[in-house]
Amino acid sequence: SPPNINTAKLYLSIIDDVIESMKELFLDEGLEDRVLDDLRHLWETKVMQSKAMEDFRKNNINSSDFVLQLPANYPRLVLSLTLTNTQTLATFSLPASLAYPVQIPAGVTLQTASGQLYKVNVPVVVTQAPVGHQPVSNVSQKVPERSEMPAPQPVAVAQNPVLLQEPEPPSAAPHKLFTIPCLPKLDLDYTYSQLSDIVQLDGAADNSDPEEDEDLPLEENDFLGLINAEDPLNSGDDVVEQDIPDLFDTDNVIVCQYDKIHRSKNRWKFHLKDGVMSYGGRDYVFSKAIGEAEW
Amino acid sequence: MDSKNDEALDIIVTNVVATFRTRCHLNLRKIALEGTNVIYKPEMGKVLMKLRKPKITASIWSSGKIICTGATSEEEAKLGARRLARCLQKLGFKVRFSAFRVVNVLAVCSMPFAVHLINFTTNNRPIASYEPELHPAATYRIKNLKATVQVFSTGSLTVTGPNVQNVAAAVEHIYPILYECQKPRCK
Repeated sequence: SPPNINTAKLYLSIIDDVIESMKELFLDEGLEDRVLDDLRHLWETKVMQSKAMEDFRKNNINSSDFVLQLPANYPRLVLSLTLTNTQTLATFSLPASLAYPVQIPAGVTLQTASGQLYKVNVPVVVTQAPVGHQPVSNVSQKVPERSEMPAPQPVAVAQNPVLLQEPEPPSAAPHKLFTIPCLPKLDLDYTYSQLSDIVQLDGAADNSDPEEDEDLPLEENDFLGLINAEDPLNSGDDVVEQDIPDLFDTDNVIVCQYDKIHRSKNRWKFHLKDGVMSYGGRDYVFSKAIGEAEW
Repeated sequence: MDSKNDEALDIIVTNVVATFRTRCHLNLRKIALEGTNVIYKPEMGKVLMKLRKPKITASIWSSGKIICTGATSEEEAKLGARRLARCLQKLGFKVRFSAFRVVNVLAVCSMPFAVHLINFTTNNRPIASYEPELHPAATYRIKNLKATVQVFSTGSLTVTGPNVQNVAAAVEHIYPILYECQKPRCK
């Protein structure tokens, strides 16, 4: 889903910021550049390992059908869109029947089946490159490393005018691929239904020392011994443990700050801010989150 | 409670409040961090702990005093209190369940007739009082039972008292008095 691309971008930019700001410090401490590079690589790998699944999945599976709104003299084309995890790049595939070169003027608006609009600001020319030719990247944004994908590789894009090259011959792939810089509209609203099955946990265990008992005079002690003997708390008074194992056996957590947490009887309302929710293995970063729950 | 009544009135106990002591100091912060189903209210110096079965809420103070609310019978209140004490014991506190007592019982009941509140108050002053600008019900206090009955013009009652027996007795006591002041419902 789109939010995960933004999250991946955010995390990578955070890693970037931190590493950059550490450069001087490391040098001052007499550490080689290589150490910092290793740290960056290690960190990025770890992050990608958790994000990578979603992004790769998205790369390979997620595609929406586009209708390309072209000027009147162009035939209507149906494109298959694949959103990649590259920053501000969207990969399109055209039906194989289209002959090269394909020219698409600037200012074309694309619309997915789900209704999202993409504006392509540069004119696009798709040509066929010789087999085995390596695609040239002229894009200023960084493209994170990805492992080999089964689908044909998307091609990077140069600025005005755009010249795209397709490395594989049309026969090898059912679709032609080209990449266009665009800025999709992404939102990070999560509906109540997506949160409804999340259970709230209390905080981590504290290890403050337990308070000592009051020391009672002997007579009172005897008296209390009597009460205790009559009414000892035992396993007959145990609360049924059924929800406790489920409660703690979860990786779904939200770490955040709160604006307001409200409760009426057993209805809870949460107004949260500036946090990350890890749910179903995915990270969802938010500046505001509103939730409701029933205890 | 064992006496037979002509009327079969449904007295529904809606809330039983009870207190008990754990006979030891309780570290509220530890309960808040390690306990399950807890709400910490540091500004009020207490922790709430909610139980699902029975459905009760306990207010826990560091002195070891605990107030248990939400039960629908005296037995349920005691059961809930004991389970709660057991939870605290499992957290590591040297809990000794003691001084359990029910302090308040709230019940509702509906008369099979509407009541003329002005007449009722006039006939039963000063035991009955009625200030419609403050509250729509007339209040009737039964001193020897330590029970208070609120009478609404619809014939609905709320009864509060120190235990279920007194509450039932209060309803029996007030029934004939209300009967005298009934009015047709459709008025």
